[in-house]
Amino acid sequence: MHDGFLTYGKMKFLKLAVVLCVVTIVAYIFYEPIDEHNGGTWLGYTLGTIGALLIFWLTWLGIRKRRYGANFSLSAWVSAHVYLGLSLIVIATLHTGFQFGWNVHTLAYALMMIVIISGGFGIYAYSRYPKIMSENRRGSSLNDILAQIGDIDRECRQIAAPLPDNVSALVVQSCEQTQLGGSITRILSGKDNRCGATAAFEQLRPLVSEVDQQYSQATRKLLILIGKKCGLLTTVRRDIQLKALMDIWLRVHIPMTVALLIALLIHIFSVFYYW
Amino acid sequence: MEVSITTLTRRKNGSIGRKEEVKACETLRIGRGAENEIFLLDARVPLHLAALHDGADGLFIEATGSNDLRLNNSIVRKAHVNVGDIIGIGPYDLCIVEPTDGINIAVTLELVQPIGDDVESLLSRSNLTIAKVGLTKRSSSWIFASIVLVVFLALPLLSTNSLFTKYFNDGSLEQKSQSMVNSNESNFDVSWVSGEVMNSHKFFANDCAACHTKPFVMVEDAACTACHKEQHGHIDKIKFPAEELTSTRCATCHTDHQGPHPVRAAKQELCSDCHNNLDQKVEGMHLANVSDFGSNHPQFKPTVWQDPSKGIKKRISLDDSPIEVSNLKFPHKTHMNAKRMRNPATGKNTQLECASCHVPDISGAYIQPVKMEEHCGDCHVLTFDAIAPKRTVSHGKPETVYRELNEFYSSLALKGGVTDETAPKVVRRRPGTPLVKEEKKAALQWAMSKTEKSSRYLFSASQCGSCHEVIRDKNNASGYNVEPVKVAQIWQPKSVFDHGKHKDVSCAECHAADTSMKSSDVLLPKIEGCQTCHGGEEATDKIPSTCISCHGFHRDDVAIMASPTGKMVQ
Amino acid sequence: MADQYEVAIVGSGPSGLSAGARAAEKGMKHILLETTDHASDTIYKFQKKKFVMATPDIMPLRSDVSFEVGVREDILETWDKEIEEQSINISYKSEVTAITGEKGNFTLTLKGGRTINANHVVLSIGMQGNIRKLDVDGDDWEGVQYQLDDPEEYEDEQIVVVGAGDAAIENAVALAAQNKVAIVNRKGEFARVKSGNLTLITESIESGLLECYFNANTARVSPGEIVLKVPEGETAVPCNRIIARLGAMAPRGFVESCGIKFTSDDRSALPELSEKYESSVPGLYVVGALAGYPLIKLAMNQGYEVVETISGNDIAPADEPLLEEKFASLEGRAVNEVLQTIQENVPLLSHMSALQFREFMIDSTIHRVKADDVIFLRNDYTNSVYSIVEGSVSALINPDDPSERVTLKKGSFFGEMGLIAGRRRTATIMANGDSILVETPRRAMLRLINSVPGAKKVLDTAAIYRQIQTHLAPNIEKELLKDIVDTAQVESLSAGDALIKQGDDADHVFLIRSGSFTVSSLIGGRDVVLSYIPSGNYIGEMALLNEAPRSATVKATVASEVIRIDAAAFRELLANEPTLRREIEDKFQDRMVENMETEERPEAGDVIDFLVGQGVGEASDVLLIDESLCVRCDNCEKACAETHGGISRLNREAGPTYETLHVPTSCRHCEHPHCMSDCPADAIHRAPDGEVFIDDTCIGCGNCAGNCPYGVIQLAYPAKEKPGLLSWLLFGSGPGPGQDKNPGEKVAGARSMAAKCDMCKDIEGGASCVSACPTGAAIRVKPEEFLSITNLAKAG
Repeated sequence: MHDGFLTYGKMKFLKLAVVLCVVTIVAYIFYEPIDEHNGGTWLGYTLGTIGALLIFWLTWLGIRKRRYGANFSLSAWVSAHVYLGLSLIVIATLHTGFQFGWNVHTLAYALMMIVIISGGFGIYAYSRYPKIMSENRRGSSLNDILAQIGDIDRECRQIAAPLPDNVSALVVQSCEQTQLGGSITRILSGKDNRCGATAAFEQLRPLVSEVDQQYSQATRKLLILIGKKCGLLTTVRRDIQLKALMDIWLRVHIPMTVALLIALLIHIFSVFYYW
Repeated sequence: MEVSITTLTRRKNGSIGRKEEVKACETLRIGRGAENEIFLLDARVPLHLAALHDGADGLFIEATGSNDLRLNNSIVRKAHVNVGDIIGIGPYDLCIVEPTDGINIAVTLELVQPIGDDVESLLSRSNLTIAKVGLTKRSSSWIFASIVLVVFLALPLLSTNSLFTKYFNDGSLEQKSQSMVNSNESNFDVSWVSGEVMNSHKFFANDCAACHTKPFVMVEDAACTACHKEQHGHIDKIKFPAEELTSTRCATCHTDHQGPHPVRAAKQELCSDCHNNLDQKVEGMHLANVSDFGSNHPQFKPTVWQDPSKGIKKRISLDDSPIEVSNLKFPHKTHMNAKRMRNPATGKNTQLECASCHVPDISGAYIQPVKMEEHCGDCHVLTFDAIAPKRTVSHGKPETVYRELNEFYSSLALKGGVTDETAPKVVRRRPGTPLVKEEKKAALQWAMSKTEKSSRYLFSASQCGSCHEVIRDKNNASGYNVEPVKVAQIWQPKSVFDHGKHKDVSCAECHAADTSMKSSDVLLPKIEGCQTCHGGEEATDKIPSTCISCHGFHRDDVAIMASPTGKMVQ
Repeated sequence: MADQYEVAIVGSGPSGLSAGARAAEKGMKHILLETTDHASDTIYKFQKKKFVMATPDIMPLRSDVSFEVGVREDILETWDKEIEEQSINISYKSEVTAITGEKGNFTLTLKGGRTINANHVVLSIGMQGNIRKLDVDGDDWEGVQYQLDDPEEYEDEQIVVVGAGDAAIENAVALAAQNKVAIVNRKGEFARVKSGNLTLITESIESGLLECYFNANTARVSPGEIVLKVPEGETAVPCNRIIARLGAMAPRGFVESCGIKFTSDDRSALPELSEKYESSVPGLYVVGALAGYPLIKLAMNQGYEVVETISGNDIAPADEPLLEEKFASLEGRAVNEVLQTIQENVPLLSHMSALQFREFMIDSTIHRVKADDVIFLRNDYTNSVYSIVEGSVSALINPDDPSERVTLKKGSFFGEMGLIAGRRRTATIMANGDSILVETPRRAMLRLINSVPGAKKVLDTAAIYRQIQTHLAPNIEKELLKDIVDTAQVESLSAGDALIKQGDDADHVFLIRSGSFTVSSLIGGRDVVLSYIPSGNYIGEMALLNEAPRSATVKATVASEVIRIDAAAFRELLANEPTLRREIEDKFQDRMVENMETEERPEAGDVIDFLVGQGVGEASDVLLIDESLCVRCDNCEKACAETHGGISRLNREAGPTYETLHVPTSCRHCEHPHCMSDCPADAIHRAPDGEVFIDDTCIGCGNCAGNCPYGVIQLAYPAKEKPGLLSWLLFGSGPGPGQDKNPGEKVAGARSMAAKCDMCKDIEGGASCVSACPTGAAIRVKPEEFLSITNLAKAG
């Protein structure tokens, strides 16, 4: 029933893209310019036009996806976006005729490649992480897990109330020195070496045997709870990490696209300004 | 003693709720433990924190547990306290206040750092998304976009001597750099340069506006001819408006920004577009169609002399075995035969090489004209009289030769001392004896007759006549004359043939000299000869040779070509 | 000797108030009895600043008490003022415990023993019922209260909460925030409360947040103290305030105790009333919600009318002009005449009292149709019922062959299946000639069925016949089906009930009338779901055909109704009808195949099991997310918000997940929408294509939100105007598209309205959440399509 964006419509856009590339390559092979291959030959102009139009259209997705309620299927657009976007690798490269240099023209090309590569990661992330994410969450929503953590904290506080200071201090630490995510690296790593709960857990373990008899039962219970909390924290951090991974590439993709758009316009302007 | 403990609770509306309870106890113990008078069920409070005593010298507080006390934000273990002092108990503030009557100690207790909702506080500490880290798409987009915009658009446009700046400096786009180079310091618009310029342009490569004189207009020929003044075109575009040529610009073939080489366009199609069916394009076209040297190129048509005296030349295809009328008698075959060649000086037989007479010019491309004095004179010695066997005449005009003879004999007769018996005695007299008028007359009489005799000999078929056409001519002092000798310097003026490049090929392979008995033979190889090694552009088994391998496009040596009728076939 | 009144009005709600005002106006000797210490308790109990609507707008207000759209406070204020001005004789804190006597001599006994005599009694006590009181000595102390408006009002008080219901728990915990609270529970534990509340209270008690007295009853109350009977004896608890939440007593008991008969035993049945609101007890009148008029304006009109009636002048009811308008198309026949003709011609409607019928007709519409006018089309999702007053129509029962028609004559009705099964129309109906039809909306029809047993019977038999004909034996003459129809019985099951148990003897065939079922079978010791069967199908024929015991268990996924058909009659039918037998054989084999497929792919069955567990069984269209595709971009929510005034009707994150199949919190457009069941403004409708939507007559009462078991309806204030897309895109001037999807905070002048998915019925692109999904993770499906094993197998 579900039709993913990669398989949308029996991959018709993949087919379209492939055809486009093949045609382009064949044309490139059989067309012999007076001089060498470059953007200045009529094939070059044609490929350039196709490429530019493609880029503008691909960029339009940013607007299109926000025109809600119109009669269209976004997944179809994304499917086309993905495959036609990839076909740019061929089209644009042949447009250059493999002439590169330190100039705005190659800049536009480079930016485009960055955009495509980041998009490539996007495809990977979108096709891989969602499943992992679900497996990681085991059916419960993020808020559920956070609520559980909250409950554990409350329960810990209650249990810790009559316990010796060194134990209760650890509970306070577990409650108040735990944080999720944080810096980019922490989010992306999905780990937190300064996690209050984990530290508390480690320090609590020996105490279970050290505290005097009457408290050991409660302390053990604390250990179990905080252990459980650590588990939940790991899940949440993993969740955050995966979400971030599915998000980070966009933060390259979009700005680079905008830069590319400008560079592209300048490229077009400049080549005709100094024709 | 009686202790009054008032718990303060601040409410949303700012008002303060007071709940007072009075306890009787010895010391006022404070902590999380239930046994304390003030016991606060909060993990942040130690089990046993402190005890407040009413000592002889007033109130004092002391820490009962391991933790120190926070008294008015200073750390103590034991201290006197007075009304107004504040003791920090974990999240609570305990404040000593003025006791009412019947009460020994009065304190207020307020929770100043309540436990928030754990999840809330956890989230407030946390940061779950990258968005919150401040790495926003919008801001970075703006940054990158503006960088690109400034560096690659604004600066190039505004850089000195960019077209844009020039336009705004002297308001005209028409003006262009007349001097070949205004300035060549590099500007920001180098970021627009699409590729390396050809070597010959490098010295003004950074001045884009030197060639790109109008925005959004392809580089015009004017820009090229501004420097290349002398260069003249292939055809007269007015008289010969062949679409293929009128539509092409210099830059069509001389594309720049493609690396160091000047001429980018060697493709034969550039020529063959027109030349493969020229006859259909131009009325009365005399040029043959040509499209490919290997497959479709007409036979060579050397330009040969027809009537040297009248100066008439004609192009005749080698297939029509052309005859060159050069008024010279020269059998190559004889001269290539050693038996027939004996050097009169040495008396030895010698084998002549082509190079004995045909010497390449300095470039090595062309062969210098053969000169009689240098190449023939060794054997063909112009002697004329046995009495003076070493004496020769110069290889010049007949009258000159005649005068030389006359002067020679006259001086001999007047000097005397001739041994010839047939000569009059006045000529045979002892030299030095003066002569009288009659005697002189007789002597010169003799000299004249001798002159006649020798010139008859010289101008005979055996001497001059062996190479030249000699005719009787009354108007000439000698009574003879020689038809002018014309040998074509270059048989194919419209093409270039470099002998130097072919020096490893023996002459005979192309020039069949050793069989030629007549100088009228045109010893040129037919095109088939060239085609044994040279093919068309696409040739794979031969040397690919395009039109411009032999032919020039810009024919500076001849007048600009035009249609003979000036009409194009529509 | 208690004084004698011309009329005693019980209950000072809108209708009672209006009646009182009329009586005062006419100078009748009257008394208006109100249990509480303020007028119109129901409205008084509305949440603060609640916006009260004055529907139906078309209905004119006929009362001496003024009433117009406004917030609770204003309305109450006006009424209090008018009670003063119009010198209505209202007596507060007078709870009537009994009404005896007959016309001209009624005796009303008040709590505390006081009695009142009156010639006529108007009962306008509404549906709220009476709040159960502590009913112990000293419960009249002003510290005792029976409701809690705003817990934050009280601080640093000792408060005792009596009761163990949800209300009690919620109050107690809320109060405990800044008060010392004790809760009194008659039992040993908190039974019959929401699980959320149970954990809430247990934690609070454990953490010592509040004190709880188990197995405790209130002995007596004295100012500042409540005495509890606890197992150990008695204990006095000092308190500044007592909050008793003991629930309410449904009014019906009391009403019946007054000798008033009800039309049926159905919970929602109404008292028998004359056209003049006179009950089965002469001189005892019933008006307002209790009489089946929940809308304020109608109730007030009745109050007015009933007093007029008592005072002896016969006035046309206020709806007269409305009916005239309705019947305008019938060339000015008198209202009564028309009403009479309809009731004479249509047996279904004949069972209604004149009063009910007027009401009924106000909701209904009269259609004059010409030959070949289409009344509705096959697969429309309308659910109104049509009755033929004059003329006739034909039903095109075979989609492929329009010539195959069944003619319905004058007096018969059609469209009831949509009503019963909550499914699409099964046939297209066209008028034969000039005919007059009455179209009745679902709501009015349900009221009819519930209050008029006769009508229900007629409807049922007809429906049974038609359903058997449509779903089982399309082209078979009525006669042949007679036996089957006669032996058939309707049987209703609630979710999870087993209709058929594996291994039982097969003695019936069942036709699913409404709801849906799962077929499951014991495979390897565990119950594996084999297939899902929506209504309009029959079950149980397999075992019947091969004379074997039941091969599988069939459970109702939701509250469902089946028609039980006797095996013998069924076999006989098959014997006479070889074609039918073949059809059934074919279908039977299809199922065999499907079942085998499942047994190979039990996980597919599990998915069905899961989805059915999520109540997808009663859905007509459900949003499913494949989490292996969902990139959590929430574009679905954004799209929803953007296309619906900035409020998202969908919560992607929430909702259960099975493996990677996620059922987000979003409307399933149930076949029998729970939200529709109790909408005072009748603002919830079903669009022809099946979308259940709320129109803007919504009064924001929140009933639908409360009734929806899937929590997909929320009350929200309309979002503020947003800046243009580009200005957000370029300069981030927010909120951007889909940002702040559920604006909770009140916008000045705005009122909260219920917001739910309308499946984007007004948007050409169809459901925005689906069309806006970048990865194709979100789809909206009809369960009967999705839940077929073969499809799931395809889905993998």
